Amino acid sequence: MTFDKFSDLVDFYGADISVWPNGLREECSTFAIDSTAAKNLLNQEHQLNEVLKSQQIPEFSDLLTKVLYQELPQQQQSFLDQFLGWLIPQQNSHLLWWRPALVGCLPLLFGIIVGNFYSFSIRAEVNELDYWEDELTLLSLNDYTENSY
Amino acid sequence: MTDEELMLAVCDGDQSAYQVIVHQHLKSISHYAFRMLGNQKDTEDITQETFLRLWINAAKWQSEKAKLSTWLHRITHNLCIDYLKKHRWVVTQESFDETKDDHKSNGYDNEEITDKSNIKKLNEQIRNLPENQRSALMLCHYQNFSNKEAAHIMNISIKALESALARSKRTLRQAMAITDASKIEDTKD
Repeated sequence: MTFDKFSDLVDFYGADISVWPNGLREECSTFAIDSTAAKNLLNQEHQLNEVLKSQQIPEFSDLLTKVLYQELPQQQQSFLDQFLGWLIPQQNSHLLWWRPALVGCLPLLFGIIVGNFYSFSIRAEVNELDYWEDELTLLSLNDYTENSY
Repeated sequence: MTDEELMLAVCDGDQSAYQVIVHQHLKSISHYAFRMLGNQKDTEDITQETFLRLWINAAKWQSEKAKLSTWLHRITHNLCIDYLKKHRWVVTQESFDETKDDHKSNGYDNEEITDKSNIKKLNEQIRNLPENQRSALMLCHYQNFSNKEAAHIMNISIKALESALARSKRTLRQAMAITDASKIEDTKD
């Protein structure tokens, strides 16, 4: 242990060696007993503590009342809380039922949009010509069963 | 009730929980603000603002990151630093006025008054410390925070805090040595 290191430790942790980190206590206590400079430094630190203790703070007599009864604004909420507050408002107004209904429709809307724009690599194998021929045959309303006799 | 329970209640808009927290922390918060700012009116404003922010931002407090007192001191610290940046000239002016008062009181022989004036000089020295050194000293000495907690409040590393603490103490010890020497000279005269 050197004096400079001891001096640093006094600055970092104060004059009470018993509250210093575990590994340092024993070595520093011995050093403080053996070294006169260390003793003087600890005395100075104690004196400084005493002077610092003598610092007076004025009484803030009506501060408690001011803080307790100050007007408290609305609290800041998370996005989820804000959304839930909008979706299910505290006042049960029937006029606001469109909000949960709208939110309920959102997955449907999403499905329609996705279904319209993306095929997901699924191709319907339709021969257009055959398809129209079949359609026309059906529309002609002919009774084809006659031909079989 | 624990801090967590109180803060959950505050998050739900419970004003009585808010009042319990104010009762628990008002003294340490106002004292810290006063030691940083040095005047009563601004201390009251900063203290009010601190608790207002507690109310508004209650949901942002994370119990696993910091104790409630540490979080509150951090809010106060930031408010004080912002205030000092904005109103630096006002504080300097007040310090200057108090220095003039000190010179006036130096003529007395009474030992008690000399001690008081020495304490006043040391207080002046504390007030003239750079903000980070003053804050480190106040948090570790008066507010009884560990170095780690004080570093968290000031948003600096533990090494930087210890360095600021060491510098502030050396400055004050030097100032004390000077006042002690002048005291000895006074008694000789």
